[in-house]
Amino acid sequence: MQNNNGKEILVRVEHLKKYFPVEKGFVEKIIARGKKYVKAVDDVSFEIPKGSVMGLCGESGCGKTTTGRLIMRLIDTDEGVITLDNKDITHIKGKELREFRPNMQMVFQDPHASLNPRMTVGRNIGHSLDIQNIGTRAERLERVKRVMESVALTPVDDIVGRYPHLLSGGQKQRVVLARALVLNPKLVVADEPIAMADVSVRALILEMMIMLKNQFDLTYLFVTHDLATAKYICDTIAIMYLGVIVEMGQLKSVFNNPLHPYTQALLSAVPVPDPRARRKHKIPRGEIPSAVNPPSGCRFHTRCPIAHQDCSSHIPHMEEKEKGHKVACPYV
Amino acid sequence: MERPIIEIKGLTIQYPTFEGPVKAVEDFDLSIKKGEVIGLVGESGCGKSTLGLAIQGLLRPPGKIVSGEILFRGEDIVKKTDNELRKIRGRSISMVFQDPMTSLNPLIRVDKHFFETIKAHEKDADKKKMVERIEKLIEILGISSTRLHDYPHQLSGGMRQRVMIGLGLILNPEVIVADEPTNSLDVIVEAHFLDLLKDLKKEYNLTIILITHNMGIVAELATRVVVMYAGRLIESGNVMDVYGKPLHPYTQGLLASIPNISLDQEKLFTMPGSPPDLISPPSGCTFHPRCSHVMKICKEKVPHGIMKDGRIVECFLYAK
Repeated sequence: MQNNNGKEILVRVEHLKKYFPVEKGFVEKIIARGKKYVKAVDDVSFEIPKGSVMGLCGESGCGKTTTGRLIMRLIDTDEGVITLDNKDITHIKGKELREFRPNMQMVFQDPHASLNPRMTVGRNIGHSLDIQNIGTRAERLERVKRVMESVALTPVDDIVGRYPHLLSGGQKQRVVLARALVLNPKLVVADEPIAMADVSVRALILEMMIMLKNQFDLTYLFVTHDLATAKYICDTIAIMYLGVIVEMGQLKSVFNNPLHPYTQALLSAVPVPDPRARRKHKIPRGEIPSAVNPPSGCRFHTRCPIAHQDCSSHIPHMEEKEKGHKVACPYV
Repeated sequence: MERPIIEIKGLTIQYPTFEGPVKAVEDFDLSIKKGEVIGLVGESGCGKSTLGLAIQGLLRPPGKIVSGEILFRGEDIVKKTDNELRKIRGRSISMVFQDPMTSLNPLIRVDKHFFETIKAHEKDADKKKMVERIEKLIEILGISSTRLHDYPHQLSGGMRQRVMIGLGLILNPEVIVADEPTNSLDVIVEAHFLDLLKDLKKEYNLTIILITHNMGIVAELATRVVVMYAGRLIESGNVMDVYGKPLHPYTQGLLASIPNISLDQEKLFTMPGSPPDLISPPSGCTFHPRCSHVMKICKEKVPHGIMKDGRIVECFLYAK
């Protein structure tokens, strides 16, 4: 698979949709008909070039995590197509899915909760090798140790037999990284990988992710709400709002020249760790509306400083404004 | 010179455990003048929240103040009884808690939260006057007074956080302790909140103690930064000085390791190691195992009372 620029594409997502039904109470079930849905992901399309880091950013509830989980096939897609490494994986299941899984792995947000406390570090990391039935026991252990070395979990022979509660937060997150890497995946979906880490070890994990990317020839989908971190690690970025992508492009192009009013607001709201840079915020009033009944037309029109009359009726489409820089707003 | 509104002297707080006491706060000194905004920064587990609780006499067992004093307008909070503390809390020092989602009572309406708070301090408060007062305040906070009859779950996260602030402000306190007030908020709501706090500070000449691990919001709001590491104060100074020229190796490392959206950073500084175990912290300077400038004296003696350029920097690099 290649895109227009001749770059090789690893992941392509087209018109992805995921609606979660809203559970209703007993009385409501009797009175009201029809189901309500949370439109978590509503017509999202993008592609990730091989070997790059794509950032998926937005406020809580914008659908960024759901998108990541859809690509991982942890939840089923309602509509749309997901292609990974030239294979349509949207509806594969059972044995076929299990055999494909080594190609894509995930790093979860909370390392304290995502490791099995009853397994040693070695078994936590090697568990997927067991499931995939790769090699002999000795070979598997060898592979676990090698991957532990690359995430600097040293001394390996000491740590491999420890249980997760004996590790520090930063070490746990490196175990999670190692577990994702042990199967030699092509794509790693990282969902807020540093949100739970201590401030002083965040940089270490980020630097390590960059190093591993080069070493193992990885592609990342980096899901985060923190735009400063995204700026540091990502090559391309997509800004999501209420289940849709409002702006997308090369990181430099989007950050230096944000076009969508929502992107502009988001960027100006990020606190800068420099007291000389204090400024009055230019921020839209109000808060993110409910995804059950999102605003009609452009979903941002209720808070948009440049909203026009027809924004509430007309759904904006992604248009290319600069090379590779797309935005879903006709008035920029 | 005006007397500081809060003076903390030699404060040591411990949590006993089976493995020995956790030294949450060790030999901590700090004095705060009226109208200052203190940014108390540090990583999780450095003792900053414990300190915030102690300032209001809210520390509960097993937490124990082993030694030291906390003077509020010259009176020692540590020695006060619960009844005396109740008169200070809310009225003189109030708290804005970390998580607005769980700090409000889900069973009572928003207005009743306010009534309860006022009634606790003014027994014979007139309901009509209370309502007027509350409406005036939450109007300033940007919540329409019709929302007063809602239950907490009907409000959004940002509104709940503003209600929390309202509850903290309704009795016109002199000092507000805000513990990670924006932790559960999205960036845009967080920015609103910071703007609001700035305006309130100007209007009421509040003294604010902002407890956070986010160096960004401290830079935005604080007048003075106090950096804590492993229960100790390690650097304290004017916000411009500390961010412009951090002196303590930990502060330097911390500031260099944060992704900054306004810069094009080639590489972030990575600090080796991780925060220490507070049951058996390292000898001498608690930061020495992670410090690149470590000297012999750092392992033997605890730095204390070291000044440089009018700032407190607890590091032997600056000792004469």
